[in-house]
Amino acid sequence: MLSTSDQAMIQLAATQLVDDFLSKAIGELRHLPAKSQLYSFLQYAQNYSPDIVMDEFVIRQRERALKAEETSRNPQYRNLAEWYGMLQSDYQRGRLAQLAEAHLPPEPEKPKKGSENMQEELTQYKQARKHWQALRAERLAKLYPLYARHVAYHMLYNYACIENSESTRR
Amino acid sequence: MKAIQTDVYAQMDRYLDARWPNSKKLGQTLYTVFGGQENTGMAQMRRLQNIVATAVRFYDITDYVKNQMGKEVGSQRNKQRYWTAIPNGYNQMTGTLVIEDLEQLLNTAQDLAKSDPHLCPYTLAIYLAKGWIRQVMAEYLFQRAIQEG
Repeated sequence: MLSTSDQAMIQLAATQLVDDFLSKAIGELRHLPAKSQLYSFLQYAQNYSPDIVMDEFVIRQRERALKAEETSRNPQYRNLAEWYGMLQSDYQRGRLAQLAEAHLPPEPEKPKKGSENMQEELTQYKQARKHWQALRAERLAKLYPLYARHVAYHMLYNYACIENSESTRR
Repeated sequence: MKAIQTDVYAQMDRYLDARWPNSKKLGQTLYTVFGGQENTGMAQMRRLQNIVATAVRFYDITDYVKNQMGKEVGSQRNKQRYWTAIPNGYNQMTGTLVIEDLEQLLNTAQDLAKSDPHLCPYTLAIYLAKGWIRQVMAEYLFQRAIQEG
């Protein structure tokens, strides 16, 4: 069970990601990631570990969007590539990553070159780093399903608001 | 339960009593949007009530409303809209009105939780939400009874 402060921080990280994306994205609703994309992301996040979500869904979808953008120049693909890029970087080094790492011991530092026991230190470093990464992955696996829910639902909420303002303008 | 915590729960009950007119108005508004048909709008209200009653996380409630609003995006023009409908006399969508009420409850819970570091604002907010939905649902059902006999 996640602590309530973790839950609040995840909600904040997820809604900020969506708000940041929408402030950069090309405005109209038809150019934003389709609802089916959001639900697929949600399905992946509920059923698989975050590294699988990244490798098999987010990164793949981003590559497809980048390729499609090259050929068609449709702003929807640019938005889609941006969207998956932001999800990827939030996971790797953004707010979500910081939140996951907040309760972990500090990341092991690489031994400096020129040390006497370089080989031994390097082996120790590799082991320590592997252990740290396993801890990080474990924590992210706890956070990610909830994060994905907040991301998808906040995005859907914003779609409703955008659609409403588009229909008011017309 | 410590005395200070008992006091906080008493304060929350007083707050809910004080905001009853708002909840009454929201219940009336929701009746105008959802109607009283058991298989359509009424089901949406029952689901909201159920989500609030069983929520373990406060944001489960807002997530539910956001998801329902999103589901209606891009749907056919002649399809009935509930959460994205704009009720008469308002310039906001039904879902936004509900989310704003929930945000007010969370703000109140956060203020009350400041009195004791052991109190969790989200737990208090769920308590407030449970009281809030009882008020809203009671008014919604009352409107249904008087308007549909």
